[in-house]
Amino acid sequence: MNLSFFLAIKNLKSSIKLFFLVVSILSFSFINLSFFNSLNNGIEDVTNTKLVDYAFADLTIIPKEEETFIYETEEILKKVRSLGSVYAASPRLSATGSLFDDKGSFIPVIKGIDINEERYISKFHSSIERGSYLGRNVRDEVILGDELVGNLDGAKGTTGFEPLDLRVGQSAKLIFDNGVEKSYIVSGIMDTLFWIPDFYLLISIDELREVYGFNEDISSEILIKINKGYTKEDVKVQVANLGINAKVIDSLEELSLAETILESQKITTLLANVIGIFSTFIVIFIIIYINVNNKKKQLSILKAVGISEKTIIKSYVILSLLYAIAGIIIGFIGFAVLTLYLELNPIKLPMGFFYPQYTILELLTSSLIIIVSSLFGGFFASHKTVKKNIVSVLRGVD
Amino acid sequence: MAFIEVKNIRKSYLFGKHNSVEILKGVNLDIEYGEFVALVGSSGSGKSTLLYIMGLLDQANEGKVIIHGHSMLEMTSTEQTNARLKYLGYVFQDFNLIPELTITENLEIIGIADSMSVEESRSRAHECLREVGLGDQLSKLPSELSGGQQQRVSIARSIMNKPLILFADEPTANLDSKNSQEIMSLFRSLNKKFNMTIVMVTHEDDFKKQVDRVIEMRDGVVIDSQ
Repeated sequence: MNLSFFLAIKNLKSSIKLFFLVVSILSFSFINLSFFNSLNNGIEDVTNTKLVDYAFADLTIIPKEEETFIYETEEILKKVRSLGSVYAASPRLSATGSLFDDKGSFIPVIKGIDINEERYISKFHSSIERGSYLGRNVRDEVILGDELVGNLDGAKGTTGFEPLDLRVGQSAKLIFDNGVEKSYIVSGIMDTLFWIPDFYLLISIDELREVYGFNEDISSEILIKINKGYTKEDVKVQVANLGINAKVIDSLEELSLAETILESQKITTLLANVIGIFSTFIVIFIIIYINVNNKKKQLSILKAVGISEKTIIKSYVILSLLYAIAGIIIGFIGFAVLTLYLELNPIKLPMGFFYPQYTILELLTSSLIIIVSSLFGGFFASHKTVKKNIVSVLRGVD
Repeated sequence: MAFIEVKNIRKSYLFGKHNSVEILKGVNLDIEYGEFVALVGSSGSGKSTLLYIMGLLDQANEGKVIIHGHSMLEMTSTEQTNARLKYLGYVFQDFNLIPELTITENLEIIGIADSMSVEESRSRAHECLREVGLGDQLSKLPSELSGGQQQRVSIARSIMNKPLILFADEPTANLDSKNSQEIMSLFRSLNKKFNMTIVMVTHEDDFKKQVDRVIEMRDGVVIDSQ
């Protein structure tokens, strides 16, 4: 049997309480490293889902770079809808303006939508919290996001803006940025659980075109929902090959909006990870150092009788590896229990329910971090102690 | 040429940042192969320091230790460790056994470190323990044995690798007179049986008659080596 392994096992058996202490700390480090990442993944996933469900759909056709609008909307829609891979396509026209109540105003993001087709590419219709969705061919009604008018319980929106005092059935004055002023009945108030669409004011695209004097071929974007079994990449190529006078993008990928939204959170997680790695290293170093230091006399005896420093250091590196493996196993069990609990009881965030998500690669990375930190900690601590003078230690003067 | 040649060994210890005290002031000494010598002298005379330097457990500031023609102090740390494993044995005043290992394992690790198989090493460990009269205590921990028995284990460990030289630093200081005499008899027997060179530091006058030669030190120098 390898002498280093033999010494490591003996060391471990002789300090079993210390073993459990170290393993507990390492298992918490593992959970810390893996869980923060999986939370981040979960939040990113729910953010992406919301963006797809309300803002972008699967693919978005946008105007060419030098243009403000798509000018051949009907033609493009016809071509796109003819593709077997496309489930639905619907145009939107974006505008800005000011929405008023009795006391003040608010600037919503005005989205003109095809009321009938929109329900196939987004989930606005199923996010109505109060009132009802826009009726077919109704042009004097609007849907308001609840960031504009406050939540159901009257609280302010998540962004902290003072909401307007507008209720379902009331008339609301809207002044568009071209100066046109009109009043609309509030048909419904929607809560998408995501702040971006909750700033939307939804209106019939035909009505909005009329306000701006546009014909039915003008839109700001066309959203595409693809059929199951097709990839976005494939459909994107198919749409691009239709020879349309516009650009097709995977907004989620190209705009990296979710990534931008989560950027600060990712930096925080990264910092937490770096601190996690560093603290794992320090904890292992301190524990091994204390352990080695408490046994410095035994180490000196081993050195005195001719056991090489390399063998002694290797025994502590092996010991650290055993700590790390046990810590990872216990940590993984803890992580699995925690993840399972959150899958069964998802956390409700302002943007909806989410649960931790992880990949095997991420778990392997966390394991590797624990192992490497432990090995370094074990190596440096034992290396420092093993270099002490044998006689000084045996005589008790070091 | 003597088996062990000590030439002009000097050793100082630092106290604080600037104060140093010279423990060995140019020691010269020859020890022959198979000789059993006692290093004696009052406390602070430098006898233990000299023993540790000869045994490659400490470094000298100056001078040479030549064993069987090899200048030992010029060796690298790794070479010295290897020399300690293969050619030198040690018996300490307070036994210095590894408490978490059984007495067999205390010996076994030396054999394993010296490239023996576990079986060979265990067999050799048992042989050594039987040699010192502990054949019936093989699986005990050091803490389960008396002081005299622990020192026997320490001696068994020192002969595990069949050393050429055995260094003993006041091996009987912590033992009663009966146990002390038994340990001395054991050393004498090892010396005769294996022709092992033994260098022993002692302050007990009774043992001076039981060794081949007494080397007396005072204030860091050898004053009598006849």
